[in-house]
Amino acid sequence: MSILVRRSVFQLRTVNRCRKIKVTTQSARNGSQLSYKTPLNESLSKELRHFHTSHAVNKIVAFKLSDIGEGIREVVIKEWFVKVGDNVQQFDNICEVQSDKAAVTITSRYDGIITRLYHDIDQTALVGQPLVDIDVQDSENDGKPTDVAPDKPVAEIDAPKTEQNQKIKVLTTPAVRRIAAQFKVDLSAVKATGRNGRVLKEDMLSHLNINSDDSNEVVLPGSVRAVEIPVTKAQARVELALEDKVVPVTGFQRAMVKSMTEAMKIPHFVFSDEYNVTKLVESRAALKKQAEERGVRLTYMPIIIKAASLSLSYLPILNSSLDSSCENLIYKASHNIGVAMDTPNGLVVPVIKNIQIKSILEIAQELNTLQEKGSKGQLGLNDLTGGTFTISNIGIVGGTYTKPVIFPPQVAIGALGKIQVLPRFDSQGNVVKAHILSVSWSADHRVIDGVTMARFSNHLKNYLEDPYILLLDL
Amino acid sequence: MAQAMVKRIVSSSACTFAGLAQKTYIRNVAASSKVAASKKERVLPTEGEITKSVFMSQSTDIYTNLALEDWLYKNMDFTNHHVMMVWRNEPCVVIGRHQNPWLEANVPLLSEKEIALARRNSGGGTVYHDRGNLNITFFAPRERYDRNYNLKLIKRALFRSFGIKSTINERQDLIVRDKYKVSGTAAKLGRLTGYHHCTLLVNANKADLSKALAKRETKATASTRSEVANLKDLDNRITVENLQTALGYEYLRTPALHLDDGGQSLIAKQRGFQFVNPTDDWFPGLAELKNDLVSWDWCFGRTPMFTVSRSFPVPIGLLAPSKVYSATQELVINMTVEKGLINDVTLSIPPGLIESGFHGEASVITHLKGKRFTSEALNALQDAMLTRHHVSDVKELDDKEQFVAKCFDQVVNTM
Repeated sequence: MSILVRRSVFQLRTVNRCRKIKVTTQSARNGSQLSYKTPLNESLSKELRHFHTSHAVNKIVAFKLSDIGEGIREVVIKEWFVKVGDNVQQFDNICEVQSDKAAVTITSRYDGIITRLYHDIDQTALVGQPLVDIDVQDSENDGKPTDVAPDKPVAEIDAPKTEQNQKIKVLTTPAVRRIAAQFKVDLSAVKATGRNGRVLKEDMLSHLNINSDDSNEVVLPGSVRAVEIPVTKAQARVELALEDKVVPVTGFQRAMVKSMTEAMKIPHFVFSDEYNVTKLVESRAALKKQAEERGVRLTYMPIIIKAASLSLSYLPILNSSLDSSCENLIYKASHNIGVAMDTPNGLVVPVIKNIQIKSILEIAQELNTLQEKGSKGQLGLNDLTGGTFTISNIGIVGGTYTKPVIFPPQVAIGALGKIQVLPRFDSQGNVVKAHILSVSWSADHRVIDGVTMARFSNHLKNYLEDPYILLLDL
Repeated sequence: MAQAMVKRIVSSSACTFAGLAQKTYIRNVAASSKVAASKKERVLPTEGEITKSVFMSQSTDIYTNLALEDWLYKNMDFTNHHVMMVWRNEPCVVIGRHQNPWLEANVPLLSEKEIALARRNSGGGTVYHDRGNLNITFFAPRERYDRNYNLKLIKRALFRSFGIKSTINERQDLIVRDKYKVSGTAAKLGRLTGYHHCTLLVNANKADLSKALAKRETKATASTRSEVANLKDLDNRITVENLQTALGYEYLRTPALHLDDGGQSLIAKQRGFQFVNPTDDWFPGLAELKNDLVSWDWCFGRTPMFTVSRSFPVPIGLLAPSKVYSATQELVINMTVEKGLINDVTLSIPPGLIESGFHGEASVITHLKGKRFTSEALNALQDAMLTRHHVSDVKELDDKEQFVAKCFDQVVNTM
């Protein structure tokens, strides 16, 4: 027993003296190296089995489909259990393939991160050809028996701080443990979202209230995005900003990818104008007080929405929907206007239904409810579907003229810019202070022409520049 | 010395971490043979060291039996111990892992006749089970998986005990009289273990069989239809019970790795027949496996994505009167179903129907999305259409809405 211990101690010492352990970052590969301090004796007495005796490397290995047997040359991929970016351990399930009547579960030979899947579901894979690419963080243990149960944590030589956590056995990578040690974070307190309860780097970062790098995201026109200011410590910033981050596109973002791709098949045209809303601003101040007495928070949006609905009654073609084969134009009876909102989950467009029969106060109430639900992520399918027209208020963040993207199967969308105070000439030729609201309307040029859009915009302009006119049509 | 030490450390920790069945003889069997499970170090025993058992399941519930099969596959070590399990079930339809139940079986008929529908873990096509059908599962370590050996063993048993001559065709089915299929086969291979299971039609109800299995060809793993026959038609003496025994003895008297007759002496060296009662006490974790297999999400939700498209001509009575239409007015319904839930619905409403006053499209699409592809969706749809009548007080659907609802009904129920 003692011989064994001594031998392993010796090997560990040589590991640490002769090599610096490389962290898997691109910069690390370029030369800057970080080394660990290892209290050998303490870690050894607790974790006798876990040690790496080989040189730490960082390379992408193509995991080939091994021979299934029975002379089978090719199989069909039926299910993937991993996706790009997932952390896998040796013996984790990678995918399920099918060859005539046998369903075979392929397990991983390596530990690492998946960087590429070679086939889609229902595609044929050949035996001997690569199946996935795995970014191997440490090369395989050679010869020494690893522990039996395949989902034990990969061996680390820990900084002294996290030793206390070893009793709870939190699954993480060395990089995350280093950050934890640096900020003196208890790993078990960090919410883990990885597979099998792994604490991913993103979890650590969000725990520390550091935001992920979104330099690669494309900001779409008309989308409202609140930019968060990262709260970080200076040191963390330097180390963390050096890495590319692969964030899978899921959930809301994925839905947006899908719908925007669809939307760009529509030929858009944009009609922009500016409305002098000085009188609206004055009236809102008075109306707001009244509304508050009734327990409703009134902003410009409900008034604008109602005015838009009245204008839609004059030009119902803007409240229609073109079916996918472009054979039929369905004029929708109800004005279900969607209001684009920025929520913690991303851009969502909840819909207020049947505006044509609702009053401004009712619209305001509903808008408040939807905003609350949206901020909590509680918007249901009912709230999000059935829209016939959309208005996006990017002005609360900023901007003037934009080119909003239509939300299929609708045919038009509007984007309201900021209300700016600018000098304008009045009817007598004097320079006066005016509140100017810039708007941009996008429409589907296959069914809407410029004149229609212009007429609609003028109608709305009429209502908003002189809110008293609303009385006539309400 | 050091090697032995290491092995002992590893195996002792293996036993504490293995977490297998605590109560039964199975634990002794499994834990004692779980030594150094790292793939590279796995040493397979020689033929003489392998013993065999025949497990006979006491349950006739398809889900319990599938769960038991799964439990053994996941938790038992077959390195030194090969097992053949025989089981049979109350009437049910079993589809392959990646198949589409709506296209393989007549789903409304199954619920009507209370025939269970289950999805197994292995691939292959759809089969109908009843008490006249015997199921056999051969368990072996992955490296020793040999489908041919198993089928030939069955062939030998049939001949030895009943004089029935059979052949194995290229699709690995057992054929009698050169054209009738009596057995279907499927397999599942994992890292350490592989199992091969097959059916044997002894005295199954062929009429029920053809009614339960729909006649369509499918996109998701297609079933290949063949003409079937019962073994009882070939030899009157054969019953499920004595076939079970015959197969069991044949299995035990054949050496593990090659086909030969070891006779009674070899049978004496094996572990013999075992009645197995699949309960959670004997197999901890079995109840959970069974619950997963019973769940709607597994049976129906695991279907690969598919689309359905049907067009229905609109009856003249529903179109706006006194209008002449150039083409036949057709209502086209396209539905994509993902994970058993209706994902996307596109309605193509002909102008004739819009002009005669049908306005329900929005509610149709909103209310169907996310619903299961069953009558549940239709009920939701009808409710939705009814609530649209909140303006007027009519509590019934008008005939146009009824027509649309009926069309949806047809799409879902008559696949």
